[in-house]
Amino acid sequence: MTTKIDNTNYELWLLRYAEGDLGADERAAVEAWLAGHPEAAAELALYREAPRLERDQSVRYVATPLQPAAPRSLWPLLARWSAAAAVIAALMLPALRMGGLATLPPQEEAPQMIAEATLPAAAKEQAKTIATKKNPEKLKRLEKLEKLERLERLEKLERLEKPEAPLTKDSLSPVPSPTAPLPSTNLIALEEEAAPIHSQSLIAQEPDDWGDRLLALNSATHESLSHTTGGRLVSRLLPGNDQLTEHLVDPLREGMNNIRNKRK
Amino acid sequence: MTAKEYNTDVRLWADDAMRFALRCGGSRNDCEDAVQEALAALWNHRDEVPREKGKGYVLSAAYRSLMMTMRHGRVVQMHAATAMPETEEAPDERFDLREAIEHALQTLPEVQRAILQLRDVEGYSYQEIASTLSLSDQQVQVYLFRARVKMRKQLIQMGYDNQDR
Repeated sequence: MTTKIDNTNYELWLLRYAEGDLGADERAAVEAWLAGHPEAAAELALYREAPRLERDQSVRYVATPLQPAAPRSLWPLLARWSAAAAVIAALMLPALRMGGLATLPPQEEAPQMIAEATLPAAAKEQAKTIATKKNPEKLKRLEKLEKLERLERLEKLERLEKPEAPLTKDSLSPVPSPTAPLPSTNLIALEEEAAPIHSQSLIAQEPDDWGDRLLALNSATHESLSHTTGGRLVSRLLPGNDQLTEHLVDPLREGMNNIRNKRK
Repeated sequence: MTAKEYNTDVRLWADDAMRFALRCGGSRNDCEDAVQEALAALWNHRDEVPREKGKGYVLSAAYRSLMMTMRHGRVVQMHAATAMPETEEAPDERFDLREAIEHALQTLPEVQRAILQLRDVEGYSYQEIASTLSLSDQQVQVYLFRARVKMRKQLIQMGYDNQDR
């Protein structure tokens, strides 16, 4: 030890002295110091007399051993993969039967349809720009379509602004000739013409009957009108008058054909 | 350290860890919790702790955990003591030597008890004890000296001198 024994470090010196870790010179220095410090000598004696602890054999601690991880089986994984493959195959089977995936419509049509149907105006405009960059023909068709839509809206506005005498049940007579064409071949216009009648509460007393009337009309005309458009149209025009249905079957069919042709 | 090596080692010295924890003080439940916590810590750090130092790591972790528990317990006891009237403890009956030693040990600070246990029972060197308890070598030696002296004084106070041993 480099430092000399004194009152601040004597415990360290005495322990090493008692353990026999000191050289001869150091032992002599400790003994000389102890001669002048009987309290420290007493402590050294106590240190030597202190009992050493023994191992208490009664103490037991059973640690829970770690369980080795079970080897992973491939069967569950294989079963999952098989199930996934079966689902994919079942989904693709109809397409394969129809002649393969190559018969599906071109991919560029789909984004445009979605854009026109569901996207907001800004997104619709952006989609249109992207789509028409590749195909200028499409741009011309779109512009044509927009023009038509604007014209239809304009007609609609004019009809709304035109003052009309309130319609009554009597005002519907005389019954139009079965061969006479409807005033407008446009479905929207047709519905609008029926609207004032609706506003006079002359029609649609029993909405549940609409479906039956439409079915009757469909079976008579062999045309397939949608339930919403056709049913609403017929029920507005022909409230509670089954005989009128027969009279208007041909004009209505003609009107629908015109609409289809126009759309084509 | 693999799971198999861990199991083998823990089976070898889990009793020692428990003995050490009990010596440091605290209830048996606290000691079991501390040892369990230490074993879990060893497994969690199995990649960082060399296998030969596993036991030391567990003893060290158990000691720290136990000290925290006991310090918390002491705070709770202090609060309880201020709320409850003090009761005069009955004077100690005559112990046999083993009980007397245990009693004397309980008068020592935890760190001194831990050093005694590691030195006498586990046979650790001063460096190993210092490493386990996060102390310096010299601190360990001084604490050990004081622990033995104090324990001997306690035994003498309880009526044991060298002739009784």
